[in-house]
Amino acid sequence: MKNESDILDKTKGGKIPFALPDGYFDNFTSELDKKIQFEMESKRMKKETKDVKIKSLYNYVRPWAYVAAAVALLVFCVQLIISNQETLEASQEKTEINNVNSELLYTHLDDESIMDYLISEEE
Amino acid sequence: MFQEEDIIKDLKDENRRYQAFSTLVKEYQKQLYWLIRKMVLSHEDTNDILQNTFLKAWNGIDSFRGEAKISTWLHRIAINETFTFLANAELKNTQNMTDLEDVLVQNLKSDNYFSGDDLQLKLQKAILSLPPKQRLVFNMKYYEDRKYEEMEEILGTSVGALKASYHHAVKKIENFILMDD
Repeated sequence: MKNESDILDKTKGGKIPFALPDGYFDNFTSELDKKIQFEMESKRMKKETKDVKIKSLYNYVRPWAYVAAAVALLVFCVQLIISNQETLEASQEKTEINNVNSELLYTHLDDESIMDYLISEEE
Repeated sequence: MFQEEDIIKDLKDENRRYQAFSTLVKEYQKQLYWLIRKMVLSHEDTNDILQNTFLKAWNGIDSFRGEAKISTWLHRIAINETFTFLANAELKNTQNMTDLEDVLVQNLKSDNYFSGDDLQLKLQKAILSLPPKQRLVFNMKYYEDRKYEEMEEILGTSVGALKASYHHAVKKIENFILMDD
C-alpha cells in the first residue's frame, strides 16, 4: 500500500503540469492593450455624445425660451397699457359726471341763487 | 524597477495612467495567470478570465483608494472573476445534467497545454474534488508556497482558518487518491 502522502510529496514544488502557447504573455499584453484602447475610445465617444446631446438640447430650447420671454413681456406690457387706459377712462368718466352734474344743478337753480353761490365762492 | 507608490501615484494621474497600467500588467500577468489556470485548468478559459480581470481593474482604477496593496486588489478581482466563471460553468453543467469536475478532467486529458503525467492527472482530479475556495487555498499554499498572512489579506480569511482549510484539503486529497487506486 502506498504511503498517503506519496503523490503530494512527489509533486510538491515540482513543475506545474500546464504548458502555454509560445510568446503567450507578449501576445496577451498587446491583445489587452487593444481592448483598453477600445475601452478608452468608447468612453471618450460616450462622453462626446453626452456633451453633444446636452448642447443640442440647449440649442433646441434656447430659441423657444427667447420666444416665451418675448411673449411674456408682450403680455405684461399689454396688461399694463389696458390697466392704465381703464384708470384713465374711469377718471375721465368721473370728471364728465361731475361736469354733467354741475350743469344739471345750474339748470335747476334760479339766477339769484347762482349769483349768491358764485359770490360766496369768490369770498 | 516596479515601485508600488510611484505606480499608484501615476494611476491617479490621467495623463500617466495608461503607461502605469501597462507596467502593472507586465508585473502581475504571470502570477495571476497561474492562479487562475490552476483553478479552471483550461488555457483558453484562463486567458478570458485574465483579460476580464485586467479590464475590470482598468475600469475600476478610480475606485482603488490605495488602502490595500495593488497586488491584493488585483488578486481579489482575479479570484472574483474565477469564482464567477466557475459558478456559471457549474450552473451550465447542472442544466445539462453533467458534473463540472468530470468535464474539467475530460478537458484536461485532451488539453494540448497539459504537460503532466498520470500522477499529475490523478492529483488534479483530487484537487478538483475540493470546493472552489478550499481548492484556491490548497493551490496557493501547495504550488506557490504563499505565506498565510498574504493569503489572509487577499482572501479575507483568518490565518487559523486558512491553516485548518489547507490541512483538511490535504487529508481530502490523500483520501481521494487512496480511494482512486
